Amino acid sequence: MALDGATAVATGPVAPGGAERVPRGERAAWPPAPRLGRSMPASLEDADLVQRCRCGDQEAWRALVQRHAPLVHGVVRGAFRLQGHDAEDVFQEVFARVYLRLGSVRDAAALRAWIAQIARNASLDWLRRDGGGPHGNETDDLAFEEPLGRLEDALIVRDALARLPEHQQEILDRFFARDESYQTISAALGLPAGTIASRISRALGSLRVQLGDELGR
Amino acid sequence: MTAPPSVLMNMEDVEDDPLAFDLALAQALAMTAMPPQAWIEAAAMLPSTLGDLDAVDRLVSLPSFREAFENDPESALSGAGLPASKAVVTALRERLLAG
Repeated sequence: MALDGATAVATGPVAPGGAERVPRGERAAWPPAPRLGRSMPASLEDADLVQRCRCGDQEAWRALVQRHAPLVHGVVRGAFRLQGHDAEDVFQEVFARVYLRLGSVRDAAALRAWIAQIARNASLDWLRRDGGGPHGNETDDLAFEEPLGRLEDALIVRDALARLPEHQQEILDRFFARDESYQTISAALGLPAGTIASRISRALGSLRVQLGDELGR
Repeated sequence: MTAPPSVLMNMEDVEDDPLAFDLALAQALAMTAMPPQAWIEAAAMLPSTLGDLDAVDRLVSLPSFREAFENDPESALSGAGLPASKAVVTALRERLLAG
């Protein structure tokens, strides 16, 4: 997957700071009046979620946010290194832009790339408004190509993780992403402390298999 | 054949160096960690928050409001009796840019 949203959206004027496009002539229909919906199955494809969001299904929107939050978080904090309130503000700004522009998505299967592009542009806009970031010269988008490439790799790993049984996802996320100790994991999950290492090892084995499938090896 | 991505290249060495796999995994998962739940909740509530946009759209047509918003978005929204949340401010900027 390339973090390039150019194929995902309809034509329209280019928004300041980036290539994602705003639809014309759709303002009356979008966003729709919100309505409550039932909880979303995790197996729903992005295209299904987008369709439901377009019908005003709030639960579909919630599921979409939940699914793509690690991506947006990864772009904002991992690649552009925004911190604290800045990171939170841009995170909210990205999802506001996504929500307002969902009506312009032509290829919903490429939603992730489109959201990544919006997150990238929102982060750059923020840095420009903020005078170039912490070091004053960080508004050259080429400077972020390398971290965005690493993020792309990381998302492959995250996708593989998402296909593991939930208990394996949980233990790997706690140990590797949240840097929790065996003791903390044991207490949080109600598992004997002496079994944590072997559970992590088994989950890692499963993840290697998933990654092998993902990469065709 | 295209070379595997860099983080994943480290993972190819797992047979020789399991630690390299673990480090690469930790890096990948940390880079794509979930944000705080409060962030997700706020974003998930956007459809409810942006319900106020019908009113905002009417305001956008008023030159006096546009000028006030450009000077001080939060005060302009508060003065108009609308929530000055980040989502509404962002959405109004989108409307102004698109309009």
